This record gives sequence, structure tokens and C-alpha cells, in this order.
Amino acid sequence: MKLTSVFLSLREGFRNLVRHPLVMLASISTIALMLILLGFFTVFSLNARHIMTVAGQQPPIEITMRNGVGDKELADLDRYLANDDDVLEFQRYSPQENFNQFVDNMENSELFADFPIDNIPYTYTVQLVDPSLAESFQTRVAGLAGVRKVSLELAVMSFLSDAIVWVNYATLAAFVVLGLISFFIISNMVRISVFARGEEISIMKYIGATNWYIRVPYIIEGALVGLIGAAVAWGVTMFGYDRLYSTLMAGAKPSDVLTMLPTEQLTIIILMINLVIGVGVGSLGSAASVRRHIQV
Amino acid sequence: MIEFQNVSMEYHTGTVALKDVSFTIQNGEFVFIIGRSGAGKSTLIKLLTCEEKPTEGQVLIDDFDIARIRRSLVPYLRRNIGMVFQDFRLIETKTVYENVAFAMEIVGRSRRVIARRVPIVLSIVGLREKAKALPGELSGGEQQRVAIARAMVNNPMLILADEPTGNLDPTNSETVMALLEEINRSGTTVVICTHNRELVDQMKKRVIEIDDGYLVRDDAVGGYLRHTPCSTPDNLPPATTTGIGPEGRQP
Repeated sequence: MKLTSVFLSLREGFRNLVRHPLVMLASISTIALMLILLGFFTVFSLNARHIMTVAGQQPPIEITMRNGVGDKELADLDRYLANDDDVLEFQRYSPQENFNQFVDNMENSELFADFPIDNIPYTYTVQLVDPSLAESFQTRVAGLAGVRKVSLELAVMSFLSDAIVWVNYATLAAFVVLGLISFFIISNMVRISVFARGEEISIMKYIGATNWYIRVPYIIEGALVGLIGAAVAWGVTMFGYDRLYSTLMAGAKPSDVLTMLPTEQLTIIILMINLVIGVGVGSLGSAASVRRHIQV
Repeated sequence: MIEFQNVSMEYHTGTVALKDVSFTIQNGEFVFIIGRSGAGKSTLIKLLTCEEKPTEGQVLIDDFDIARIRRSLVPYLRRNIGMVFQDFRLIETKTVYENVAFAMEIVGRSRRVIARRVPIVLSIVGLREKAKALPGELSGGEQQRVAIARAMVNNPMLILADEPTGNLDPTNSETVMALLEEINRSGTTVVICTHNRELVDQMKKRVIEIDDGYLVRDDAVGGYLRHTPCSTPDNLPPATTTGIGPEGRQP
């Protein structure tokens, strides 16, 4: 295709948009609605994953050391945990700290004033990068010198792990279903457009226009509809999310388990998803429709 | 050169539109194709523009067999054919200038070449002053002249006109035919399908008559009716009967 033809195709694509303003508005609105739905689903999914990850990283893993364990074993375990890629964070508690925490939780703390502290072990709390790694982590650490017990809430871990998988599947399904719906909507829009301009297309064919020369403006038109729909959907989704975030997260601390992802962390992700799906579905939907209805 | 060799054409519906039609049109000829409605004239045009392919025989355009031409090459073949229709087929949303320029844009001509060529062609058809008008603002005759301008702007080797005067009054019809004759004088082959008896009789050109799918007459200089006595000039051969082309070839 010559540069002149590319320029003309672009010009025609833009003109096509304005030529049927109502059809264009209907298409953009539908695509935007689809992408808003998809956007909210994505936002929900990302937040659910975020919450599950944070919850999974809360310390359900506790390492209990043998009584009277030496400094060398403690230092070795510190080093081991520090170098383990699966470990996000860990914290060591001395017998005194454990005793204090235990006493704080009791109603009559004075009863434990003479409790022999030597019977209380050193403990570690560990946060893993991924809750699904807990079992293998337990096996590895249980065999280390000085370690008496590695306890973990396997049921909670496996629930979180499964939940993340299901959220992933649901997101994928939503992507496919909503993507297909958008695809057919754009296809129909272009079909209407092609039928409305049937006479013009037949003239173009008689003059000697190639299939691509006729198709490209329609593909550009579809891509533009997708692009505008994506931009509108992005704006609405982010505005809605920001309002929701401001309302729900007003008094929350970043360390809380039930926290939402900040708006700015989602802005680019949602924009990219909308652009790829909007423009992709727009141009592919147009191409498919135009291919079926324009044959030289 | 256009050559029909024993061409038969049957549509999917079973309608046989052409039956064993053979003729040759040399470059630079001016030919009328006449016949009743449904005789097969439109099918003949569809074969020439590659809209249809013959079920039997060969249609050769400059030695290209259109039955074997690849689909992707069809547009390039059509660029060598200027089409003129009874209903003008202009794009209503484009101005006269844009309609003509459009034909050049499609073949990838640069803006500079288009800006130079279109006004010249509009001058030839006498519409330079109406370059900015929309087709809806023109008379039927003027619209047809725009269609002719569009057909000739890329210097095609062949102009195919399907009932070009069908919607025009006698004066405009004569103007349009005069234009087509002028284009033919510059070397372009002109093939016209028409019902217009007066024009065919008046123009005294080669006449091919199709009836019920058969070629029933091919006169080097003929009138609309088979036995119409033509006022043939002394320097031209008398009207021939079926089977004899302008150069005395057996089609």
C-alpha cells in the first residue's frame, strides 16, 4: 500500500466515523459499557488477589525452636531465612518477648510472675511470597538444626491458593465472554456501515479499488470506535474506583489485610487492558465483518 | 483486444444468459451491443468486468483469460476499464472534483498529479466550472458527463458504457455520445450497451446484437434493427450480417 493510500485510508476511517453519528455513538457506548463491566471485574479480581496475597502473607507459619537452643543455630536459621527466595519477611521472638506477649493476653497476669522463662522457646513468624509454597517450606525448615516444630494453617493456605486460581479462571472467562460480545457488536456496526455504503463500495470496486483499499478504512473505523470506547470506559472505571477507594479506605492503614489497591496502581493496568481489548476487538471485528461483506 | 471465444454463461439459478458467443473487438473500436432486456447484454458486461466468469469458452482481454485471472488481480484489470452506467453511480457526498479525483486516488496517484489531471478532464467534459458542486446539484446530463470524466481520468484502454443515455433527454444523449466518440478518437476502445435506437442509427458504428443469449448479428456499420437501411457513407463497407466483424474476421 502506497503512503498516499495509507493517508487516504486514515482520512476515510475518520470520515466514516462522523458520517453515521448515531451508529457511531451507539457502538462507542456499547463498547464503553462492556469495557466498564470488564474494568470493574478486573479491578475486583486484582483487589481480591491483592487481599488474598496479603492475607496469605500474614504469619500463619510459626517456627518453634528447641529449648536452650544455642546462638549458632539461631544465627544459622536467621541466615537461612534471609537467603530463602520464598520468604518475604520473618521475625524472631526471644523467650522473654514470647512470655510478655503470653502474659499480656492473660487476664490475671500476676499469676505468671514466677513462671520460669527457661521453658519458653525462641520462635519465628514467617511470611511467604506465595501461600502455596508453605508445605515445601515446612518440610525444608523442619529438618534444620535447633528447629522443634514448624506449624502452619494448611487449610487456610490451601483455601487462599485455590481461591486465587478460581479468581484467575473467572477473570479469564470474563475476558473471553465480554471480548466476544464486544467483537460481535463492532462486527454488527461495521455490517450496518457497509450496507449503508453498499453503493459507494460497488462504485469503488468498479473503479478498481483493491479489497484492502476498501477494507482498511472500516478497520480503522472499528479501531477508532474501540479506542474511544476504551478511553471512556477507562475514565469511568477509574473515577468510580477512586471514589470507592476514598470512601472505603478513609481510615485504613496500609498494613491492614482488607486494603484495596491504590488507584494509581491500577490506572495503567486498566488503560492497557481497555486499549488492547477495545482497539483489538474493534479492528478485528471490523476486519471480520468487512471481509465477509466486501468481495471484489 | 477483447476476444469472446465460444462463451456460454449459466448462472447458479440455471438461467443461461449467453450461448456460444464469439466475437473480437480490436483496440480503438467503437462498438454498440444491442438487444432486448434480458438478452444477455448485462452478462456480457459482467464478464468483461470480471464480476462473473464464463461457464464455457474464453474471454480474453489483451490476452488475459479472465476465467483464470487471480481474484487479487481483478482490481488491476478494472483500472484499465472505465465504467459508465445508466444511473451515473456517483458518490453523492463527494463533489464533482472529488468524484473524479477518487478514481485516481484509488490507483494511488499523488495529490500533485490528481490536482493537475482532474481539471483537464473536467474541462474536456465541460464541467470545470462545476467542480465544487455535489452530484445532486447537477442535471442528469451533467452527472453523466462527470461519470465519463471519472471513467476516462485514468486513461483506460476500454470504456464500457451500460445504457449511458438511458436517463437522458435527446440533447444530453447526443452530448454524451459525442464525448464518448471523442474519447474513442483518441484511441480508447468504447463498448456501449444501449436500447437507444436513434443514437445507434445515427452513429453508424459496429453493432453486435444479442438475442436470447445468442449473438445474432455483428455488423461493421449497422443500425438498430437488422434490416434498417442505413445511410452508409460511400467510403465504408455496407452493413454486414451475422458473423462478420469490422475487419472481415470470422468471430
